[in-house]
Amino acid sequence: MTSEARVVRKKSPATLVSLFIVSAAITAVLGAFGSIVFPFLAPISSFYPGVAFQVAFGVWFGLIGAIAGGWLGPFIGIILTGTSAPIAAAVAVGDFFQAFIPMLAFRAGRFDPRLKTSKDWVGHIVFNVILAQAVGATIGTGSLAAGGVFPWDVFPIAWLGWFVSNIVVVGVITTILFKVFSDYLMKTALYVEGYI
Amino acid sequence: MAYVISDILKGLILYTPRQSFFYRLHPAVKLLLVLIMSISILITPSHTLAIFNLAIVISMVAVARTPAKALRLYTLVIGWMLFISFILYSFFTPVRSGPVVTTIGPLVVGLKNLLDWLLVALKFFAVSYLTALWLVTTKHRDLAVGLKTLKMPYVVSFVMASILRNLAVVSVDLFTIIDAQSSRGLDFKKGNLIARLAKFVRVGIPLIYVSLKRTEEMSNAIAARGFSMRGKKTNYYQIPMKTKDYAFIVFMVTHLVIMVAAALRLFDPTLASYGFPQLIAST
Repeated sequence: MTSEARVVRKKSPATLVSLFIVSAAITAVLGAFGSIVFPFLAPISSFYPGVAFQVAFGVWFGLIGAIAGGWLGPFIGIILTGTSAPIAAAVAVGDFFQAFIPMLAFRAGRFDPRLKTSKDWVGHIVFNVILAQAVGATIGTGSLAAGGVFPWDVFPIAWLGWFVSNIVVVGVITTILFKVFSDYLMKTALYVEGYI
Repeated sequence: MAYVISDILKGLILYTPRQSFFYRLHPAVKLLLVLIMSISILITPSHTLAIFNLAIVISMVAVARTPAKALRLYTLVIGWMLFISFILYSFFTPVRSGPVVTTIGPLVVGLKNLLDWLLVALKFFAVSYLTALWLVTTKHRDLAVGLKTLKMPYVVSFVMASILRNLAVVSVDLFTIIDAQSSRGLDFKKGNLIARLAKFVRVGIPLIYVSLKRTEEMSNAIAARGFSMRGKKTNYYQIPMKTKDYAFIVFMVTHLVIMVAAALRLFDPTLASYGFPQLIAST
């Protein structure tokens, strides 16, 4: 984070629980929306807007955002598209890493989500856009292949579908969300500066 | 377009009141049903048992008087997924064993690949209808009671019930914003992928704004009601377990044991050696 003085308000349990509920609900709806409207190989979609919010929630809301927006929301969203709970849970682990890696990288690397310096941009592109999506795609598509949704022979096609669509979505939408909301959020009690 | 999708999402997640045996089951039992039977259906090793499982689930769906609308929607979603899966299994998976069904140019379709896909399709239809059955027969507040009965901490049951309740709210917000932007002339169908993504930002930004506002309102509301994560909670709304609930648990566990035994080959999973007709040629 930058050295600018900011008012950091203490978060109540009610605030944290509300953040958790809303983060999970948004990513669940967007996950189901992406799978139904832009199907590729459900629950993998050709355009998955939820991932942009997963990354942003992980960076803004810490572990709460990573768990609620990264795992629980996608888990519920995948179930809503008709996939079984055990496979949904495994696929959602891939989604979790798509939020957890950005959360970890931005705190450990002290990158600013307002993307003010070139260091912040490099951190965003390397960790949020590329690394997190590569890990998520590997775990997510691997879980679907292990669950028998498609044979292992087509794993590379599914992996590429997941990875490419996500890096485009995160590269465009998350970047705009960071530029528009980070400054405002960092002045409110909703922003989580540490891990929790 | 937005209206149709909104209808799909709302249809998928809404409790629909009806009168049937299944609606009166304890919510904890219905939750266990989705978890336990999903696992036992997924580990089913043969087509014969998978057909039995699908028949059991369809019987439950019929007895429960599950609304046809929910089933139609789930059939549409899972049908599309299985269609793509069929193409991948049929045309993009090398034929390693078994006879070849047909050859289309460079693409070779093997019988074993088709049978593998059929097994996946039978399992996924069964699990999908099971999920539909649970979602349309369980109220959000009953889910909280179910989780509490399963000894989940209060905060977990509260959060899960609240998330499910908020799904419909967020869904309505999303499609209200899409409709509002469309009425201002924003066409989501025009432009290349990047242009469409940039247009989606015009949906994402209001959605986040509305959601952050709601987070603050919800936070104030639950704080005003004295919310705390610790301490013993009392609840005036309770649902007692009845004999039929225990009977259903016995049925689920028995089903799981049979499927585990079949998966471990403790008996012939094709049931051919017990005189059952071979519905599908041996894979």
